[in-house]
Amino acid sequence: MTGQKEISEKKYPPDVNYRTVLKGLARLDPFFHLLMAILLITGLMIDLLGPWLGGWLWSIRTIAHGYLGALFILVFIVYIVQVIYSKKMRTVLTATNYVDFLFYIILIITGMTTASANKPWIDVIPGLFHALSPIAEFTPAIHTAVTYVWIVFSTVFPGGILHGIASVYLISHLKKKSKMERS
Amino acid sequence: MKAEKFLGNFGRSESLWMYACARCGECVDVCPVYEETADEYTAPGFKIKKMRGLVGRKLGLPFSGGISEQGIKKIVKGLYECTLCGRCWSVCPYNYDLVSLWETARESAFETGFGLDSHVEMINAVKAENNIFNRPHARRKDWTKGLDVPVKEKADTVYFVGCLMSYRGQLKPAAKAMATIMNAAGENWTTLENEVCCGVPLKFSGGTKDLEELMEINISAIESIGARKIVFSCPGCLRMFRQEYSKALGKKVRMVHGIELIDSYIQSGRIKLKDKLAERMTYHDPCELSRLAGVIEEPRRIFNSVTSGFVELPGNKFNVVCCGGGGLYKAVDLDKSLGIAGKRIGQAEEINAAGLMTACPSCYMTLSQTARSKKSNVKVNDFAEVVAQQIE
Ligand code: HEM
Ligand code: SF4
Ligand code: SF4
Repeated sequence: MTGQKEISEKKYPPDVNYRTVLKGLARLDPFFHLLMAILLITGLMIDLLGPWLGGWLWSIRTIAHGYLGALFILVFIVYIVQVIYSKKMRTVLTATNYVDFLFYIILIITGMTTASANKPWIDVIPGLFHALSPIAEFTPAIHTAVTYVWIVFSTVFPGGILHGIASVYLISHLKKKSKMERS
Repeated sequence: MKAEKFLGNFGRSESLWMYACARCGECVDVCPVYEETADEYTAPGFKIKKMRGLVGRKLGLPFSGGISEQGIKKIVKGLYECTLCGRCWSVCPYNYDLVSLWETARESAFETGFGLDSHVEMINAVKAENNIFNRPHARRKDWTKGLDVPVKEKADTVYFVGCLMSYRGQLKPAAKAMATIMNAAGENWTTLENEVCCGVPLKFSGGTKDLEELMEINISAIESIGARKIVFSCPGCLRMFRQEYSKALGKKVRMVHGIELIDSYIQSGRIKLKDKLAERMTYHDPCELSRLAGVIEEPRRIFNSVTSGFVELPGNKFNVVCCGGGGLYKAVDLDKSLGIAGKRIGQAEEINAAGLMTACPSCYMTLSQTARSKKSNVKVNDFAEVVAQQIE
């Protein structure tokens, strides 16, 4: 039934700026973006800056990338279940989004074996260790390679990183425009 | 090919928006038209997805899909199957102005020859007779018969009546009620000698070519009167004035809805009301007045001083669910529009309201027509009539 969503009053015509967008983001999706951003940044740090990180490397791998990656799995499951049961599945998502989901699943599976830090899952489900051991040899390479493929893919096609880039550009454009209109 | 030109009026903001939209689907969940039609082309997020393909192609981006005239017709149909209620904007996490997006897209549809025949007819009527009904311009003031309605050369306040209130028999008493209340309050007011359609129907249809010319007639009339305040009965006219006319009239001219004016009369004691009624009454917030103009508390203050039986409808105030009659949707699909209104009447019945008040001529027409066809016991009233009857 429509009309059930209660939004607090806001002004029309609206302003769009980082504050309004972050507020909207926090209302709908506080974990997915945050974790994804942390995983992307820390993943790239480990891969590209690993030798220079010294003692930091261990904590970035274990805590920032490892444990948060394990948490991301839960967030992702909740997110996917919500998507499947929403009208948006039919109406707003495109092929790019579905391919993105596939990338996430590959990253999740390969991630579980890549970082020993992802132990929380292995600890909870000991059977996973055996189930994943045959592929454990290749997964670090796959995990890294898929990340770069994902970055390229989602920068080129609308839906993934491109939506982030367009968002940042749009917000700064609208801010400039409203400043001009006011003066 | 005209299809190539469709959405050619999208600027940087609209084009970027096509890619920024997060596909969160919040808008899809709340759109009253999509709920009624179940046709995905009416779902706001889906329209964006389809338009993105076209914009992408114009920008030369890969995998953007083709442009077929048939495909565009489906998108355009969806753009007109929309009440411009702004519910999608209200839930959009970006706060992006989706109402303006729909209006801009309709403008392009109209300009590229995809406009609707019924809208072309309406625009021709406005050009010929300055009103959307193609009724003689000379009869615009017929509603004033038997009343003390001033036409002054100079006045503090102009009452802008609008096409619906001026010409629709059912609504004329509401315009009269507004006049009675302003007289009772001792307001120094006038109507325009030569009022013409405010132009909002043109904007909604997308056919905005003659808009400025039309606006100019009202602007020069208001300027010559030297009014500091303009009062409206129609929230559509009000939004049009606040958004478009204010650029010419400047910030010094206040633009208010009748409901705000009457609230100020009651608060300041300029009008006194009789003892409260006991009737169970509710209020349907017009989308354009509550969500898009922020007039929310004033009607409640009024109704609570008119009756001791005021009750709220579910889905109200800023989150109001549209009556189905906005955005010229009635002319596009009458059955579906009245289907949406039927739900609203049903909600009023559920809370056992005897009276359903509104503050918009378009909501009034849609809801009262539906109440009649449903043989509902709920009586739809314009707020001004209810208040005028209660003046001491
Ligand atoms: C400045 C603002 C934003 C930035 C920089 C940003 C960045 C990103 C990035 C990098 C992705 C990539 C994920 C992928 O490839 O699947 C993404 C996905 C996503 N974003 Fe945003 N985002 C922003 C605002 C928002 C907002 C306000 C929402 C609304 C809730 C949102 C909803 C989503 C959703 C639902 C996805 C998943 C897309 C998918 O299903 O694949 N984003 N975002
Ligand atoms: S303005 Fe209202 S009717 Fe139109 S798309 Fe948005 S929610 Fe639907
Ligand atoms: S609510 Fe806004 S961001 Fe979400 S799908 Fe609709 S238009 Fe896009």
